[in-house]
Amino acid sequence: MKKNIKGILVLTLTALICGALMYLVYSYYGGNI
Amino acid sequence: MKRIWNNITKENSVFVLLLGLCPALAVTTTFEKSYVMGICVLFVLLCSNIIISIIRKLVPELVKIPVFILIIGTFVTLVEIVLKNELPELYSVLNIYLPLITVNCIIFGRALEVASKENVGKSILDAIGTGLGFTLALMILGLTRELLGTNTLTIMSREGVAKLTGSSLVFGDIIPGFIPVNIMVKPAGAFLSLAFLLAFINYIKIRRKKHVSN
Repeated sequence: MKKNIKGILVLTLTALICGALMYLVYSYYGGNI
Repeated sequence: MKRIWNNITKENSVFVLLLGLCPALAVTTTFEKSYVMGICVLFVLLCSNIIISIIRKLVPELVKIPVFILIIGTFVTLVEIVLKNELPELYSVLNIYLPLITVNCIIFGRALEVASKENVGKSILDAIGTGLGFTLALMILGLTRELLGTNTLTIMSREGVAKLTGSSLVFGDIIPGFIPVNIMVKPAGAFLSLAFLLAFINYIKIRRKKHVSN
């Protein structure tokens, strides 16, 4: 159970950081994707 | 340095391991497209290897693959956004093969084999070697196909890389009097070029082995 929770946390955190990075570049170019 | 040289020559991803053949065959119709695709793959490989190597001890076995794909996909998306805004014509020409970098065997394979097991330094060296080897292979293929297929050489076209550098570099009629074989820029020509290049490389390898054993 502990391993599953750690896995889900790591996955969620990675997704949030990746999303933030993509949003940064996306907003730098004025929302043009 | 030995690791980098090994990845470029003895373990070249296209000519030796035969990985990443989809973009290698599809985008190598001109020299310019070849090295631009190679640079994109090198960038994604380097960045994803660094990040995966840093977080390798924090990621449980259970979620290793989804986390790696997330990281690789993020860098591919960044490359797409930048290319679409800086070089829109080249972006539209490379089309579907840019998002396909995410599922390129080379990148995912190196992430699982090297980045998730070795430290950051070794992962960087491995990424540089593999990426340079892939770019070199694509450039050789692109040069061969463009020369034989159109008798021209596009290093920086006006709609492509010249937008960043300011000057275009396109040469026509490289081999005087040569009638270009148009099939070389078609899919069949891609397979033909790769086959002949592979045959040549294997011939060199066999000759070298014989020389060493003598």
